[in-house]
Amino acid sequence: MFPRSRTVIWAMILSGLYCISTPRSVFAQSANEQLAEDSDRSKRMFIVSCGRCHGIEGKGGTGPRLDRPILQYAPDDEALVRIIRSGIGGTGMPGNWFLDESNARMIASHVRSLGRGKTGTLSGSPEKGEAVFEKGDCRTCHIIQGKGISLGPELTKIGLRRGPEFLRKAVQHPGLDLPLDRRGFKEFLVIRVVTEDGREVRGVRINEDTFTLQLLDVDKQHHSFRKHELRAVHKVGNESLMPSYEDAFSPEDINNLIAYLSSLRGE
Amino acid sequence: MRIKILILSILTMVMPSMLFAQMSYERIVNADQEPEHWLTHSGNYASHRHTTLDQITRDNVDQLKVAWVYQVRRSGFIETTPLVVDGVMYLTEPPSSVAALDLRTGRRLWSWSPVLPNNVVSIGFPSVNRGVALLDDMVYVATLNAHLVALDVKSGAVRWDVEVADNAHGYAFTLAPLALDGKIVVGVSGGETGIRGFIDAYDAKTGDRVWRFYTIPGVGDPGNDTWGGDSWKTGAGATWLTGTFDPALNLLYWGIGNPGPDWNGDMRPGDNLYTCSVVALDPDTGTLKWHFQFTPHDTHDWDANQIPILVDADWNGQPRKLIVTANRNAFYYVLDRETGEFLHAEAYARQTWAKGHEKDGRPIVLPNTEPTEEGTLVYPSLQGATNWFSPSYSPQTNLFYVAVREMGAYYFKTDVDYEPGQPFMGGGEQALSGDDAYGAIRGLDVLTGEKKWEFRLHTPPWAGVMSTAGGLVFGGTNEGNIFALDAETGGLLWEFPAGGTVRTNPMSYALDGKQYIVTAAGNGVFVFGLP
Repeated sequence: MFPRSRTVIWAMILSGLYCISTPRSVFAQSANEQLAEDSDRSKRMFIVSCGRCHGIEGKGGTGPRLDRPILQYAPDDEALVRIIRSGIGGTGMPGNWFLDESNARMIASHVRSLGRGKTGTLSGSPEKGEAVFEKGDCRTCHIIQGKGISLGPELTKIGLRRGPEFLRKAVQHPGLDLPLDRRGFKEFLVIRVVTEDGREVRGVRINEDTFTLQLLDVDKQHHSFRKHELRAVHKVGNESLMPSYEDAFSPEDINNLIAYLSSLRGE
Repeated sequence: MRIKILILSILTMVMPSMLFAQMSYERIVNADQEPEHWLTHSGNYASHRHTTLDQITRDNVDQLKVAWVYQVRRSGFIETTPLVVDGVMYLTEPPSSVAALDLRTGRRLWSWSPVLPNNVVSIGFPSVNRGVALLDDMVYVATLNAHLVALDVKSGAVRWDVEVADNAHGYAFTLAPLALDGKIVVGVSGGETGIRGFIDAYDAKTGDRVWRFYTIPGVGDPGNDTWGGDSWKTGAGATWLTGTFDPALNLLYWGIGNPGPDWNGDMRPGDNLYTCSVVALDPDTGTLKWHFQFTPHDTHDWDANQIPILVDADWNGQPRKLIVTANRNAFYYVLDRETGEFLHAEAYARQTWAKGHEKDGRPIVLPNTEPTEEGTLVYPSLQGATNWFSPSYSPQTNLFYVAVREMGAYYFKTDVDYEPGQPFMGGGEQALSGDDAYGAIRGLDVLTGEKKWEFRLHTPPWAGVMSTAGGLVFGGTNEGNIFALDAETGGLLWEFPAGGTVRTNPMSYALDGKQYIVTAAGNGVFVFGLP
C-alpha cells in the first residue's frame, strides 16, 4: 500500500552517512524528519485501511474506538498485528491479508499511538493518594484488585485506560465527560424512569435496546424495564451517581489521588 | 430400473414436500401465484419483498413461536435471504457456503463450501453472502473470491465454476445472483479498491459469459468524458446488490456503487458516470437503455446499489410504470421505468448536503459539504440513510417500508495512490455513533415518499424489512430483537429477543398449510410459526 520506497531507504542511508561529517543538530533534524515521515505514513495507512470503520482518528464508527491504551482483543503488539492481518471471527473486523507484516506493524504502531493518554503533570504522591482513596470511602463504589463494591468503574487498571487529565475531571466534575463504550455509547449514563404506577427509579444505564432498559441504582440494585410499560424515560446528560470531590478534598489530596489512580496498572 | 422407479414413487408419496426443485423461469415470473415458496432473492422480480400469505395477522402474530433454528457452521454475519421451493430451503452461510435444508425440520440435506484462498481480498466490506439463485435443476452462488458456481440442486455437486474476475485486484462477490430466462446475472463488490465495475450475464447451463456491461464507460464510449484524464480506469462503480427485472418490458434494473477513490473527488473530476446511478439494461444483450444518476460526482460513498422496487400506479391521473428507491443519499426517488424520466424526490431521512433537485433530478448541492482534511460534518453518514438491506412494498397499503439510519459523520479527505488489490478510498469518516445516532423503520407513501409512520430503533439498523398480506412488517435490530409492526400504523405487535445481531432480510413461506417467517440473528437462522 505505502511500502517503504527506495527514496526513503536512500534518504535513511544518506542521513546516516551525513552524520559523520555534520553537526549533531542536523542529524537530529534528519532523524526527526524520518520519524515524522514514518509517523505520517503510518497514519495515512491507518486512515486508508481502518478509517472507514474505526474513524479517521480512531474514535470509532462502525467499528469500535481504538484511541485507548487497552484494546480488548489486542493485549500486546503481536496480537494487534495478527488481528490487523487476520481479522476477528464473528465480528465485523475483516482480515487484511493484503498487508504484509511490515505494513501491519506500521498500522499497529499508529493504533498504539492513538491510545497513549496525555501525560499531564503528576505532582502528587501515590502512597498518600491511596490514603485519600480510603478516606473517601471510594471502595463503596469501586473495586481495586478484587476489593470493594461495584457501581462505578472497576479501577484495577485505570492508569492504563485513562490519562491523568481525564481522571482529574472525573473526580472533580463526574458526569461532565462520560467515557464512551466500543459502540460510542456513554458509559455510566444516568437515566431516570417513571413507571406506570408513578414510581421513580434513577440509575446508571447497564444495557439498552429498542424495547428494554436495564439500570443499576445507587443502592447497587438492578432494575429491568420494558420501555412501553414506562411513563417516562429521561436521559440525564452531564450527571453522575458519583458526587463531586472538588470541595470534599483539598487540592493536594486530589493531586495525590490522581497520582495513585494513575499508578494503578494491574501490576 | 423398475425397482428404482418404484422406490422413487414411494418416496414421492411419502415425502411429497421434499421433491427437489425443478425451477423454471416461468415460475419466477409468476412467483406471486405460489406464495408458499420464495423463488428469488426479493420474493418476486419486482423486488417487493412482500408475501401474499395472510395466515399470520395483526391479531395472532403475538403467538409466534420458534419452529426450528439452523446454526451456521462458521461464525460471521448472516445476510442471506433463503430461497424456498418444493420442500427445501436453500441458503448461504458466511463467507460463501451453501446449504440445502429440509423445510420441515431444518435438517441439512447437503452443503457445499468453496476452497477460498487464505489471502482472499475483501476490502471495505465483511465476508458475507446474501443468498443463491435457483433455475431449473441448479443452484447458483457467487463467492467471495469472485467465482460464479453452479451446483446440482439435488446433491450440491459442482456443475460448473467460472472465475468472473481477479480477486487479487479487489473483485469479489457478496450478492445473491439473479436468475433470468436461461441466464444468471451477477454484479461485483470491490468499490473500495479502484476496480472497474461491471454487470455480467452467464449461460445458466454452461457458464459461458453472454454479455458484460461496464459501469465505467471506456474510451470512445458515451459517458467516458465524465471522467477527468485516466481516472475512469480506477473508477469503481461496484454492482454489489441484486437487481430488479420487468419481464413485460424486458428491462433489467441495477444499482451502481460509488466512484473511486471514495472521498477524494479531486482525483476524478466530472460527474463520473454511471456511478451512483440506476441503469436499465436489455437482459439479452447487456445494452444500456437508460440511466439516472442520483448523486453525480459523489464524494460520500453514497452507493446507489439499494434494490429498486417496481410499482404500477397512476401518476398525475395517468397509469405509469414506476421504479422507486430509497437511496443511500437520504432521498426517496420516483422514476418512470420505461424511460428513466425523473418524476419526484423527497428526503426520507435527515440530510444536510442538498437544497433540493433540479427538474431533471440533478441534486442542488449545498456548499461546504465536501470532505476536507479537517473533516466536514454531513448527514447522512457514509453508511447512508439506508444501506444494503432490502426495503419492502405492500400493494395493500401502498406504503414503501425502509429501515433508516439516522446518523451523521465527519468526512475526511486524504491523498491516495492506486495499487491493484489495495484500498483506494482517499479519506474516511468519523461517525456520530452511540447516543448521537438512532434508527427507524419508516412507512413512506410510495408515490410521494412522505413519511406516514415511524417506529424508532435504539441504533441504526443493518437489517431489512418484509411486509405481509396479514398487515405486518417484520424487521430486526442490532441488539438482537426480531419484531413485527402494524403495516398501517407502525405500532409494535410482537418482539422476540433472539440474542444476536440481526443483519438480514426476512422472508416467508408456507408448508402443510402453515405460514412461517424466517430471519437470522447471531449465528442462527430462525423459523417462526403459529402454534
